[in-house]
Amino acid sequence: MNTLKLNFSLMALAIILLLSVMNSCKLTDKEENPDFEKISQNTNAQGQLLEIRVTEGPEHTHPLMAFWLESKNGEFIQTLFVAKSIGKGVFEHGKAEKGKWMPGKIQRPAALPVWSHLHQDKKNKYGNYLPTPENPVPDTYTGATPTHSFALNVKPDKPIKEKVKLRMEINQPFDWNEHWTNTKYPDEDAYETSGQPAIVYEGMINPKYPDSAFTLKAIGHSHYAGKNGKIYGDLSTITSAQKIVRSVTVSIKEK
Amino acid sequence: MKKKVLILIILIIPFTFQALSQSGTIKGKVYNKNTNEAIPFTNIVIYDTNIGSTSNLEGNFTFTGIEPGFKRLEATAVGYKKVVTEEFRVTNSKTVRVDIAMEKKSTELEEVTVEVSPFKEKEESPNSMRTLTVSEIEKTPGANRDISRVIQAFPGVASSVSFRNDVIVRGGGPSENSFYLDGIEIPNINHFATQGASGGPVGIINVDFIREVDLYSSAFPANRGGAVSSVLDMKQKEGNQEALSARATLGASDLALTLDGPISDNTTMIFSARRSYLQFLFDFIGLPFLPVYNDFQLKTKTEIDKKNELSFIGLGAIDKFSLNTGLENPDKEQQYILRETPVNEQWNYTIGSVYRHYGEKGYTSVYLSRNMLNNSAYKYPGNDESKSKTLDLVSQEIENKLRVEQNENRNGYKLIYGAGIEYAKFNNNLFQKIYTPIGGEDTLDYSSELSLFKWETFAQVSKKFFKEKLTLSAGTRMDATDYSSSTSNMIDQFSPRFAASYEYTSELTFNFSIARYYQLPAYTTLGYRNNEDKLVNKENNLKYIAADHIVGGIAWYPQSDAKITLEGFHKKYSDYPFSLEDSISLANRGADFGIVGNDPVESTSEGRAYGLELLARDRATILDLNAILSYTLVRSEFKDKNGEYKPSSWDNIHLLNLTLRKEFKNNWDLGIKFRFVGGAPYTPWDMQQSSVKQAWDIRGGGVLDYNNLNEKRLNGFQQLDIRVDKAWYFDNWSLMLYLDIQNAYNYKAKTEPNLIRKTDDNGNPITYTDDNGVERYELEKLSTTAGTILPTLGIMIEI
Repeated sequence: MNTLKLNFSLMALAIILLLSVMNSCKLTDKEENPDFEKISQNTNAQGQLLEIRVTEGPEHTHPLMAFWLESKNGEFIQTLFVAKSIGKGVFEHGKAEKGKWMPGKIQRPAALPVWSHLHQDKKNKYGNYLPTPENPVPDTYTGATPTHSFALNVKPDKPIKEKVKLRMEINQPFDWNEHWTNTKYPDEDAYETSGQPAIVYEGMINPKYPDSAFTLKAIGHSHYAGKNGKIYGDLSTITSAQKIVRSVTVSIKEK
Repeated sequence: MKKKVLILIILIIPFTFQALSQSGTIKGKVYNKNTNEAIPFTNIVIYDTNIGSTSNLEGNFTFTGIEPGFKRLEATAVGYKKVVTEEFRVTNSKTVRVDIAMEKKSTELEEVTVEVSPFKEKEESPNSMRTLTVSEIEKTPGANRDISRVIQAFPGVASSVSFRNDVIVRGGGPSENSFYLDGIEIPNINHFATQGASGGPVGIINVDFIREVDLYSSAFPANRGGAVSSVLDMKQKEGNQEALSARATLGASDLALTLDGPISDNTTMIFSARRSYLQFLFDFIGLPFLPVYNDFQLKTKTEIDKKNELSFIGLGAIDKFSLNTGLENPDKEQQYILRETPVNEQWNYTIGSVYRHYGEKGYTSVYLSRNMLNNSAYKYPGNDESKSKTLDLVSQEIENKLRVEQNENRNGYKLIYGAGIEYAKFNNNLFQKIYTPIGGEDTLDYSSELSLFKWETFAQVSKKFFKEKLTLSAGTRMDATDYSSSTSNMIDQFSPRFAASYEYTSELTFNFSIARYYQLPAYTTLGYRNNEDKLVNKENNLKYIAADHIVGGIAWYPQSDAKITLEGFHKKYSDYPFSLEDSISLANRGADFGIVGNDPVESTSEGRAYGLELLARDRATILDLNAILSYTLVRSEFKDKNGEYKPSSWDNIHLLNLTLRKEFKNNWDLGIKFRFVGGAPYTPWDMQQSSVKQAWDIRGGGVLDYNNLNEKRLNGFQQLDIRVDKAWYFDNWSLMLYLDIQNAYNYKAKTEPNLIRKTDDNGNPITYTDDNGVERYELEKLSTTAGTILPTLGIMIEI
């Protein structure tokens, strides 16, 4: 009789466990067919309409990003889009007042160093190349950081007449991994908010083929503390940061 | 020879590997304790270092490249009180999950940074609460990773000489405690538990599960009931969210396997099974009894969504005991045990679920659980199975519980309130031959079935005033059961409590608490029937046991890592069951194997316990030592049948503990623990009654002389334990070894003398007939000692 009761209890426990597992199974439809938030920037400009579709990856947690155009030879042409907090130099959680976070000036040179070194050639008063509240990126090129997958409709200022590079730089704060550890550069304040450095993706726009689409490919990472605008081609130490986005596709929507 | 080679291999293997890189990973989430909302941009540092991280917008944070070992985190968030987490172990082989619950700051403190101490205090319990850390549980010398033994290092907690885990707190008996695991009450924490009390020789809880343990010796929170001496509140870890990991442990007396990992995207589990090998060890060293225990432990946690979570816990034990009848040439003491020890087997389990829903201002917890104890014992005269049994017992205690609890924070007022119901059953099939000096031989032969409904309500409010200098907490609790009219009115068990704490300076705090607690007597007492099938104690108006506590003390924090407390306490017991059979208070019983409380009683016993406790804890501020020094002066007295206070069985008077641990380079640890426990009182044998052959044959032993209750006192008991730990943290696995030497200088403590029958050359008991024609045995007192040097090599492998 006692053994029966014990067995019954163990069976009940097993059923509870099974139910718990079943309950926790999730569908993956959302991951496969995400809803894209639609964003439009600079759509009154003269250039061709580009649609940049960013599909979030499993490690996507409010990354900062910038898109820009470069000539085939690497000369900076223009910014297409940059996260507002970087573009204005003001972050929503910038300063604490009366026990609450308030918008405040923040400089994060490790966030998008390749873009910032191209965007301006003179150091700001903080000693880096980032925009500041006194010298911000115009509203036309900035917007709130999308929280999930998004489709950015954007036009360059002028029509693209020859092949150009479209580049994306993306960085997610505080995403440490086994190589880029919390203790790796204890004296680098900029590194302390970054973790794995920003990654640069690239694709080529060919204006001869309107209505075409292509996917950006990761070509390297930025400096871990944003001290220069170089691209470092070895991505072997970048792990979860390569999963911030699942894919970035660019379509040329019109001539 | 083979054994020696094996030991050599075990010792050498670790040195052949290089200890590899420091690549421990910690992940976690910072959230509002009351609403479960994520707290972004929390600054988190490894405690006492500059190594930091920050939570992202989802509240998640990560540390990588962390040197393995025991760590804490310190979290600072805008608008929230700073938090120092409980301790946890970092290894290279698996990611540690540490979630940090934070409480909002009151408005008046928004601009103030309040430093926090790693020594946690709660508003409800500003005194009389101690927290055990994981490293203390894992590495306390002599404790062998057994929680019941670890708490013996704290003030007010006495230990018995006989290597049992009786929880004896501030002069209260082992039956006066309650135990909670993740908020679910569990009936006992030891294998071979004494039914009706709490003690046993080995703990059930696998410490691989344990995140933190709080021991309350007074100032119990209102949501914790069922105790008049202490509440042990244990919190379990959650399973690893990253990947499955395993830990195998070869401990002092058992082999354990623990699995820990995710079972789906939002569910984690941690499971363990242990089996003792004591039976082989005992047989090898020639002990007359062979215990075998097994236990199982499980926890799953499912995050249903951001506002709802569900946990399951399971805990079970199967304990078997047999006599070592194959023992060759047993000595007198061994013969005594072989002849007179009943065979005892038991199993027990607790299963439960905790559902938690987070609202705007707080959270609701629903606890649903069931626990069962099945205890059986039998005894043949002289353990000769050809004779008729003198004891045959099967006893079951079953409890089904539902409790709903609300935790809120409204305008700085911390509120806890709730209610619970319970359906309990006690089944007792007893056949026992008894002998009393007054009544002579008798037989108890009854089946008792007892069903009880119990219900409880509780509420507590706490608030800090004057820039959090003054903390006040007031609460109440009421319990009742339909057992009888003496127990069914909740007002009769009205249990108020009040605590105050005043921070005179940042280093000096004055604390005070006062409360009345109630505890239902053991089921063995509630369900005791006579041969007329009457619930004798129900007819005797058995009541809840009451205890009034008053505690005052000071706490001094000379450093952030050091704390010294001095507390004075006074406990006054009333309505304690008083045995009508032996004319003693049941408060004196509970530190022996078997069953306590199955006596006819009346709720008339009164007692008191009082004393002073000094505790000094220092974590690494002096010579990098982790030190615990505790001294307790305690008196415990209960009234005898003449109404005079007599020392209780727990009146140890002096308790001294010193534990020192030091970490060395390359993950070496050395710890020593010295303890002194003052001699406990004991009752001498009644030689006149014991020698009566009829009495001895029935009882299987002597009769205590309760006319001289606790008149004798043992000498004090002392012990030095030494422990050396060494850990190797490899990339994909960890190896941890320890050598624990209990009673290093082999101190022999004199214990209560056993009474045995003298035997002739053929081994037969010598009898004689006295002048009144009564047949008697010739008896002799057998001096016994306890305590032997006991080295243990423990091996833990984690992958």
